[in-house]
Amino acid sequence: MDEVTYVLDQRCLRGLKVVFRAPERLCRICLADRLDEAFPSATRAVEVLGAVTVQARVVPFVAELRWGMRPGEVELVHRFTSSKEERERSHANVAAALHRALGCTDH
Amino acid sequence: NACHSVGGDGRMQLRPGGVMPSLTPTMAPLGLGQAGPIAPSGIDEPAVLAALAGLDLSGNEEGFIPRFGVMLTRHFANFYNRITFEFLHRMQGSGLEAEAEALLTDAGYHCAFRTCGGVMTSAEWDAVVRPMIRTEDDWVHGMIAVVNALGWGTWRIQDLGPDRVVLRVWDDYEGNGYLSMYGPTRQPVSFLHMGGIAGIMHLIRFGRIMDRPALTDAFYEACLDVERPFVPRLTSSVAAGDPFTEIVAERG
Repeated sequence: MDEVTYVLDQRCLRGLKVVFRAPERLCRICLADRLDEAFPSATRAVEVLGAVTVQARVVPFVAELRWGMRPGEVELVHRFTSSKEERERSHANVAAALHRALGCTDH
Repeated sequence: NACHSVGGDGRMQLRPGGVMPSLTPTMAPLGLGQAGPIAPSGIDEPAVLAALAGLDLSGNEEGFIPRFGVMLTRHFANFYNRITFEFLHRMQGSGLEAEAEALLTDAGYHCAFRTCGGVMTSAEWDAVVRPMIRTEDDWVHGMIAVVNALGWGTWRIQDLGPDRVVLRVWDDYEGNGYLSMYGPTRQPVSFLHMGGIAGIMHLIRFGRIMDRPALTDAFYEACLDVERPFVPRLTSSVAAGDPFTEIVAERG
């Protein structure tokens, strides 16, 4: 069974937001490194929500990634103007990064 | 007549001189320190506000704010106010005044369903508010705390029961807007607030939002189609010069 699953958010962001879920053992350091490798041109941001630190990566006019709010979850929010090909590529890159991060043995 | 919407060619010529039309006056000064006390609950509202202050709500490169699982926009309150109040005024004498008010209140109800429903099932809510929740009523107080971070005014729960809620709003943006644009009125103008609080109560009391239902059109209809829905009524209004807007929403 694939340890990485995803669901299309059917609420207000239906079609634009995909929530990836991986086991909670997912190493945060490896996750950040693998996502940064997958999206090398992304702008990095950190938001602090009380006791929770949210990591964000933005590729302008393509996608935004956010993680840290729920263990094991990565949100991929496509930009409204992104193309079908860009969305497919972003989706594939996030899934691949999660799989690679799950294989982490360094931390 | 340059505008395409009236058949113009879109070309405009600028000339110096002339008189600037008067702009909508700015709203009355915010009386942020005047709001009543926060109702006791499991929710630490100052902590919620402090946590949400760390969120970037400035909008992305497309002008959208994808937060709380919904697509927000940063908007001029008086733009929406103007549309609302001009619509209301133009319906005067049509025989459909009550329908117009019902439509505007329903817009507030829709907003509660989509926006507040999205908030209460979002990762941000799970991170900041959900850990504080101990009772069903805490869901109401938690949603009010988040609303207070959004700039609509300062909401305070005056009374809360299974079938009734009394909401007071200081610096109600709808009341402030009407007062500054048109002067005082005893007619209801705080439609978003009225529909909004009724919608929040429906989501929590009937919709069981804590069970994370999908916010589909069918679910919306099911939330509405209940025996004795919450019906909001205005009992005081900033637009009339009162210190706060008060809405009582009770099951009919």
